Amino acid sequence: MSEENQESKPEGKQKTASDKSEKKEKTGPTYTGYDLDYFLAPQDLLKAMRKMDETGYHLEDITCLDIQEGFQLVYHLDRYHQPGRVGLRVIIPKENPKIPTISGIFPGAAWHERECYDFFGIQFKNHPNLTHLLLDAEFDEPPPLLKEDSARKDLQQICPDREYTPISADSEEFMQAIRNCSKSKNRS
Amino acid sequence: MNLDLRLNTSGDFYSQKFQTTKRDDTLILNMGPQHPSTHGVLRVLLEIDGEYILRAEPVLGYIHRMHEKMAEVMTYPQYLPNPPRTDYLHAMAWNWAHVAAVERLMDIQVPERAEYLRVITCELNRICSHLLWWGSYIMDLGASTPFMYAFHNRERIQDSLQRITGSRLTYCYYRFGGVYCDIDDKFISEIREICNWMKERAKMYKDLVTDNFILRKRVEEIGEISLETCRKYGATGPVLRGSGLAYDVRRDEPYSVYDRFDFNVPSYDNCDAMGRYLVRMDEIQESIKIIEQALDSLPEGDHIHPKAPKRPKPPAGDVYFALEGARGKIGLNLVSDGGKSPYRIKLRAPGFSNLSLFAEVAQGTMIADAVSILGSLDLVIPEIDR
Repeated sequence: MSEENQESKPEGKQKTASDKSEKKEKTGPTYTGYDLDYFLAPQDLLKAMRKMDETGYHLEDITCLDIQEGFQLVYHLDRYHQPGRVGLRVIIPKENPKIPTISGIFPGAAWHERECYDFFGIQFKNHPNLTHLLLDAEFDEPPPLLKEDSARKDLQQICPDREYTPISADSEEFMQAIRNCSKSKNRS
Repeated sequence: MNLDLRLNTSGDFYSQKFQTTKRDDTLILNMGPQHPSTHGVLRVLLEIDGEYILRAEPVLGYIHRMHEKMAEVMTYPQYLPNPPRTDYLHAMAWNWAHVAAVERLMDIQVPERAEYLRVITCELNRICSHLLWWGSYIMDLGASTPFMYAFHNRERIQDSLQRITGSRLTYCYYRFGGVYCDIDDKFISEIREICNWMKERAKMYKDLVTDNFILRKRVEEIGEISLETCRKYGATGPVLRGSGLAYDVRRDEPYSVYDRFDFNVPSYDNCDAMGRYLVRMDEIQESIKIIEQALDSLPEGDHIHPKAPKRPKPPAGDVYFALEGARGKIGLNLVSDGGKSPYRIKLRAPGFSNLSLFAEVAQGTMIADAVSILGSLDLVIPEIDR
């Protein structure tokens, strides 16, 4: 890991430097595995996903995190032809968590969303079949991956290297960034 | 207690939910969870018209063990044996994904020799996985002899790995900052012998099975998956490469020392089960190439970083580590709050995404072909259910 990390550092930094200040580099690892990392407003999600679809990305998975601010959904996307991982983050409120489904754009998302419904109880609007996927159909206890109140951390405590500054899915900056996103390939 | 079971034809939750259809001349058929071709406990609900499948829906969760919850209640070293148990056929890769994610978050330097040992053992494990897939896929299609050849072959690799790692299937060989123990000359000579032997065997496999007329009838032009379908569902690994796109994390997102080796990424644009079959058969040979190169240039040094933490306590942060498993891109998303156990670990199983396209691909095929398609996806259910 060692050498590649050091070499990929300037590359990864370049991509994210535009919207992030330099001070975070001290606390975080040299390379996080994300080549781009953005927060989105929930109402921008579908628009952003459509753009990701047009630029040739595929969905890797959807991770959900239980934090003090609410639920953070992280959509991991990558590209076959020009590899580069994009993390798109959306934070939705804890009470009555609702977010539109992206299974109309990426049909593969349907299962990932059902998994989030299983473990966190997230309601995906217009989902074709929002039933339990991995858990039993009759499971009606609280979702198993919810944190206890005492263990729940806030965004600063778990991701000190990322700041909550949502980007607009319409902005030229976002479009440019996802179009040019790529992984450093000149590793020794 | 109601013992009269004859009257209960409504089925369980899933079949009831599945039955909502306008046609009344179709049959709902349950394939699995005990069907031999589903290899483990996968259940597929089928709506059939005669022999033809109108709709298919996989039902998951029969072997769900909540590995992601276990991560949150265990410390990092306690969780070490867990990821290999998700995909028991390519355990090394999952073990690697876990330790590498922690190393990435903590910036641990892995000694060069340890990286080579990881490559060698991971590729050996990949060969084992492909061999088992090959044997059992051919068995699904009705031939039982190749299974014996595959297992004979696999057994020799496992014997060698057992001496070094201590296990035969669910390896837990990698540690944070290196590997558990160094290899010896006996292991090296054994592996060289096996590699040479397997190159010979490849010809026999080709004559006996790949060129076989009956096999070709069962795999050619069966289960065609377009490249666009692969992208929409996030399919990776041999499924994607069998549809004509040479995408391999080892080459496209290089990790460890893979960029030092000369190997091809086989791809076939038949898009059918034969394409996926050929990709895996070629990959066995490519893995042998990597292992031989790694053995030739094996550097001296430590097998584990002398100051590697036994009980790591990574700083707060969010990292993603992806690597190429036998079934595709394995991803591990580690979120830490600086504590002794992870705040959240998300496991991306390649089989999960690969299986999710089955519902679309199976439409309009015959039941016997669905068995062939399921087999060609190389499913490992514990990995999908986690």
